[in-house]
Amino acid sequence: MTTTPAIEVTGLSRRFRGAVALEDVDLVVEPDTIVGLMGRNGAGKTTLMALLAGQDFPTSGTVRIFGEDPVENDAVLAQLCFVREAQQYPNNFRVSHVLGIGPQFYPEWDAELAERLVDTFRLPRRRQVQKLSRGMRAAVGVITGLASQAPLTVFDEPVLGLDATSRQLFYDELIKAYAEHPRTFLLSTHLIDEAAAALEQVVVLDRGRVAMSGNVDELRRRASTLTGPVDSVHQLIGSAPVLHQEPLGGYVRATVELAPSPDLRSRAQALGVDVAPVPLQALVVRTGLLGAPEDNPASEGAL
Amino acid sequence: MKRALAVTRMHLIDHMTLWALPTGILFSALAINLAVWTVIDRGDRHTGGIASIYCFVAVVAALAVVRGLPFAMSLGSSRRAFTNGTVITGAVIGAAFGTLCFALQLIEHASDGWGMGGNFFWFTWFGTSWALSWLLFVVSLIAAFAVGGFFGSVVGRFQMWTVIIGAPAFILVGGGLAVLVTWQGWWHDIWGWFADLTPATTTLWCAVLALACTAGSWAVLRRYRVS
Repeated sequence: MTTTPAIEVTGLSRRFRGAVALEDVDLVVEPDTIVGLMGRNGAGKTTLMALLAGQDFPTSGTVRIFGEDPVENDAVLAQLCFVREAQQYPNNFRVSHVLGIGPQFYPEWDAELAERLVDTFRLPRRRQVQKLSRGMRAAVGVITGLASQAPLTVFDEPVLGLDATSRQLFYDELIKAYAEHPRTFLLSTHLIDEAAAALEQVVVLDRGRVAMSGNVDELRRRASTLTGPVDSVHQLIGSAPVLHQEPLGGYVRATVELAPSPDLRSRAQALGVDVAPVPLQALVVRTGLLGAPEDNPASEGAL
Repeated sequence: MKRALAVTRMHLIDHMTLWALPTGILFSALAINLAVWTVIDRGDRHTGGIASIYCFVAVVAALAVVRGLPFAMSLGSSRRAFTNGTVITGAVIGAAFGTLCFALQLIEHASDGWGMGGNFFWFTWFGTSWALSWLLFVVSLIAAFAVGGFFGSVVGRFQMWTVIIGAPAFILVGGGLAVLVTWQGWWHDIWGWFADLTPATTTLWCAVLALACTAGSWAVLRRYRVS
């Protein structure tokens, strides 16, 4: 039996007055997955999210959410919550108003969770949302998204502005919410390593294209960091693509597209080279630095 | 329909701003007028103070669209559900304030203009039919809501372009019409048309205005995108 993907994007492009925001994006997200959407500023993350939420119209290509076009589709939109980084709120809307209106839009709204999180994040209920600090506004968005229990919850930069404690609280609550009621989360973030533990899948956008996409563990297994004497490291690398190289005196630290297999480890040990897994962030940073995906050895997905 | 009602509840959740504030404004405007009438001794005691409630309703509608639509859409509301929910909101607000104004008009009438022949709720010539008088208040307030909502829709969708293109266009079209009317000598006919309005025809024209603005709002919001 095949399940309908939560998100299925085919050949999606979005141009604004000639400027390309998204170009030929393909993406499939299975239901009940936590996906990280990454990429440099202006890579097209928010544009993609807006298209997924039916808030914008594609120039070409298709978006399917639970198998249907989300644009003006009440049945699909009722299953979707999209909290923006700069989310706008109605005039004079207070924190208590957000808590009050949530259940009207989401039958599964978890009021208990919302109330608990307001206390956890120490939000003043009577305060107007627009007058809260950036971090507190972010917390209101986090609460809305988690309490909505929407089958597809999209967060644009949910932790931006949150203090370190609140960020950890968010990741904990995200995993807890997911464990209790599995659903699909798509979140964009620049704090990649911090979020990595919560993510199953990542999609990296670069200049509107998918530069890298896949399961987090598999992506990590595709590359290794080798540290050791220059000659020994180069001997191990052979013809494998090098993502990054840093000289350290007579030593070198190289990020290479080589799986950290037992074989590699034993050969490295013999040569006095240290093998370490590549942090997700390092992988994403390299992808962003390598430029156009055409000449990017780490690319996959849309190509 | 359920989604539309959720939008209506969203618009109506802030009781303080929505009900207490305009009622306060209305009563303070009335109080100021009564005070002025006691001090100034003149026969003609008419005032346009009631315009405050129309302005308030129009501003509420504009803000409801500009600020409410991005939020409603983030909670999975479609543009259509939002528009329907906002139309229902306009009807609720029009009915509520229309009834309040009508009740105060009755009091004004019964108390011989607050005991001093004042006309704050001044549609005295509408006193010919109380039912029609109530209907006129309700429909005209809904029209004010629809005009504000249309303005909010245009600003919400086109943002800065509204000002850049809208302001010069408004001046050109408005100025052009004024020139045309003056040149053709139509001013007399236009004032005459206003003077000939009856409660029934005024209500009708308000309804036409409300419908036209609602249709215009939907035409603008159909392709709205959150930015």
